[in-house]
Amino acid sequence: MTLSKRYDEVMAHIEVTDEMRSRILNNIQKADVTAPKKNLLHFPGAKKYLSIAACFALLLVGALTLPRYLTPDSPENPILAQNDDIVNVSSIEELSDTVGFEVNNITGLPFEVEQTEYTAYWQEMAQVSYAGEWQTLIYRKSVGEEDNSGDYTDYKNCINIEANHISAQLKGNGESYNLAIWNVDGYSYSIYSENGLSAEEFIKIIDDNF
Amino acid sequence: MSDCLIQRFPAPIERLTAAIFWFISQFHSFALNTGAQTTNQLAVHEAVNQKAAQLLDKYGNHILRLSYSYLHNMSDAEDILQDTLLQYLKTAPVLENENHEKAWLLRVAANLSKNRIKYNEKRKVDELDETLASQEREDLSFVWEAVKSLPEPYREAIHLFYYEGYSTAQIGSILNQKEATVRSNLHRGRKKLKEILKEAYDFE
Repeated sequence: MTLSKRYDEVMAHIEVTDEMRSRILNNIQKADVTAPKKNLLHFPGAKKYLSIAACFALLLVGALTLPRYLTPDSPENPILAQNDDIVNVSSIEELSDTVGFEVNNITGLPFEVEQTEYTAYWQEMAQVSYAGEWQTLIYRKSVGEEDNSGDYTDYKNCINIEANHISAQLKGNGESYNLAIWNVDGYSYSIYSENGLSAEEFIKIIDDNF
Repeated sequence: MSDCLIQRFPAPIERLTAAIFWFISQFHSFALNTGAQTTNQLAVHEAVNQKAAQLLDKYGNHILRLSYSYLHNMSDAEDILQDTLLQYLKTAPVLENENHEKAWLLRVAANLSKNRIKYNEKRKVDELDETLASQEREDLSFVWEAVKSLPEPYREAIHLFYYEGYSTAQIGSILNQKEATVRSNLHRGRKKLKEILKEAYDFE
């Protein structure tokens, strides 16, 4: 039996009982969600204007004094941490340094790239996201052989392709493919395409870059 | 003197009588309005209660199970279910269809559950543990303990993907996360589960 079926069995033990149902409906009835909202309290005129003046004064003081205390990131290598485990960096070189292995940019994409983002996950997986007007590509590289895409969609079409001595698996629905996965020399690779690419386009990307 | 003498009440009594009649008419009109308002309010109450029951029957188990996956005890999960329904009834969100409605409810339940975790000082009893133990379902206890031990970001991705069947894009929308983050959490969650369960189960 698969894990997900076991998990379904576990969850089947948690359900709304008749007693719980009555209790909840009773409480909701007592809560009276239809009660009219309370009237707004109005500030007396003088207090209102004094409060506004105080806010402006604070803003002014803040604008004048805060810049002294904020230390800007180095303009050369700003690192913007989302949290300890997931780190956005500003270049492919920094990404390579962060994850500890070489990562290269993908070139020759079949769309115009408007934005590129570099992210290191848990210092062990490198991700580069290429976003264009109608397409987004997410490229990942990590140590090991497991599929690192995180895409466990049950695709209808799966084919194997060969490109530049690399055997990759393509997955998708319909005429295009959303995911390419392969591993080489102890590294796992994946390319996820939000709007799908043809098999030829994937072959060209792998041929040109790997 | 042949003037007809019109017999009239003395003026003060006339005024008093007029005042009494005016007062009675005002009271009658007030009573009618109040009656109408009360009838309206009762109708609204009834509609709200019916909606609450409808939501509970359609989505109650889904909301309860998601909350339980965060909080690991039935009384907190029940509170979250109740609060989620109350939010819906108070906000009356405009939703396109049933799928949208369910996603909205799960999003609210996830947020409320996470807020509850922050304020829970003492961990309460996990009834599911006890139930599975009493049924001697070690296989299910094993799975539950494994999922329970996952960090929250992995656990919520695993629950919504495998139990609710949402895509990673939909999960991203429910949890207000980037899809790439959801996929990474799913990947890590599976990896950790495999380590804990020692390859005893396949995911597919």
